[in-house]
Formats: sequence, C-alpha cells, structure tokens
Amino acid sequence: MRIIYSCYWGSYLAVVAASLHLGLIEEFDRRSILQLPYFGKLPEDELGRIYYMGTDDMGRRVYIMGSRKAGGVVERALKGIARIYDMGENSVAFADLLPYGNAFYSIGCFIIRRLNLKTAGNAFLILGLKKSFEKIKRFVEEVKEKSV
Amino acid sequence: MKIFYCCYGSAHSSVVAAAIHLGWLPSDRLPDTEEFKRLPHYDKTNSFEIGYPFFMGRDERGIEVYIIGMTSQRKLVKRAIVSFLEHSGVNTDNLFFIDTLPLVNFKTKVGGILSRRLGLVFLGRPLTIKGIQERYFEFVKLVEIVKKRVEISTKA
Repeated sequence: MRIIYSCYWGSYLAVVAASLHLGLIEEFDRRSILQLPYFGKLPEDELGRIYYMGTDDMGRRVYIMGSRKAGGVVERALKGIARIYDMGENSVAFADLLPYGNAFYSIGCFIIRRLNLKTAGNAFLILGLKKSFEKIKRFVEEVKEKSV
Repeated sequence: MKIFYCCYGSAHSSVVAAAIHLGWLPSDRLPDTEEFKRLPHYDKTNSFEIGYPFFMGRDERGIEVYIIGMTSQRKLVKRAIVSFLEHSGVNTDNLFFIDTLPLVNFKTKVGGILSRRLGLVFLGRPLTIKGIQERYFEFVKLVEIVKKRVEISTKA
C-alpha cells in the first residue's frame, strides 16, 4: 500500500500531512515544521515526481508530490497504471491537500516561489498552516483509517 | 512494451493516433466522417475520466497501445507515472509517451470544447473530425515515426 500526499507545490501542505501521518510532528510547532524533510525543497521543474517520506507502523509507504491543480488527473493516471501493472487500483491512495490551503498560505507560497523571499513568505505560510492545522490533522486521520 | 498516446482529454488526437497505429484507420487514404465516429472513445471521454489510461489494443508486434488524457499538465503527469513506477521497482525503459496534442488544430480544439465541455455534441463532433481530416497525414507520419523508434529500441 502506498499513500501519496499531494498539494500544489508538494513542499508544504503535503509535507505537513505526510509528517503527521508518520508521527514526525503531532502538534503545531513552527520550528519543527520548518525543519521537516523536503519542506520548501521540491523543485518546480520536477513537479509530478513522487518523493518517499517514510513507512508507517502499518507498513504503508508514504510519499509526497506536487501536482499543481491536476490532482484528479494524476490520481486517475496512477490508479490506472497500478491496474495495468497488476498492482491493483487500491494499492495506491492519493490524498490531495489542495483544499486545505487558505489565503495566508497562498500568499506565502506566492512570496516564496514568485518573489523569491523565503523568510517573509514562510511567515505567511506558517500562519496559514496554523489556521488549517486541525483540519489537516483530521484529514490525515481519515486517510489513515480509509487506506488499508 | 507499452505505448501511451497522450493528449488533453483522450477523446480526439490520441484516439486517432492509436487507431492508425492499430490499423483501425487507413494510412493511405483519408477516412470519412463515419470511420472516425465509429472509433472507440472517439469524442466520448468525459472530463471526470481524464487521466485514466484506456487500453486500445495490441499491435502486430504485441505492443500494448493506450490513450491517456493529461490536460495541460503533460510533463507533470508523465513524471508522476514514471516516478511512481520506479518506486514500485518497474523498469520504465520500455514505456513510450507520444504527445499528439501538437497535431491538434484550431477546429479540433473548438470542436472539442463544444462537444466535451459544453455538451454540444452535434456541433462539436463534426468540427473535431474536420480538423483532424485536415492534418490526417501528419498523424500517419507521426505513427510511422513511432513504429520506427519502437523497432530500433526493441533491436537494441
């Protein structure tokens, strides 16, 4: 079983969700979020590539990916591919975090990615993550329960 | 070995390329409107199906031919598929992704929007076919190139 957490850039919401899943973080903490593996690090010209984050206590492999707004297309493509290669469509779960962004989060991403101002952007981004944190946590719990 | 003909919505250009590849459409003459309409998946894929790879058939060499829609994110979706397979321990050297969207002209695009997005099939479908007929022999040429490339790679 593979679980892919995805968001627009793959670097922020997806990393936080995957880290919650793997128990790398439990509560909101600015410092530990900024130090998560891959946080803010997935290159734009590699969007779509999946990155391995770890294996959870049930043996499920957890990945992250940036899929812009094409999460639905990517999900169907991967499920179809899994079927073609006889892995079974249910061997992969795709969890798109795109709806869990908010205005602060989007402004933060814009400042980091388009204006290249990492510190200023992170301030907004973290504020956005803080506001959505409980929702993200609940979503990750749902994913963990559903994907067996 | 697998070939994926990719376009925006797996409804028009990828279907035609795959059909030429499999010999369902002729390479030496221009097919008429009815021949296009009869093709499986032609102008039929719904928006909510885009991304799903559809199996079209096996060619004379036993190669599996698929169509897949990738919207405007073709590089991203291809990267997703290839990296997913690599992480699953599958060799991806024998996968071919052929982009057919560059062969889509204005008529086919407008027809596709009318038929697929607005549901005006009676207006859109004939227009998509007209557009493809205008560039039909470029599709034939593309498939010939693909077959040659495949032949070279199987020998190597």
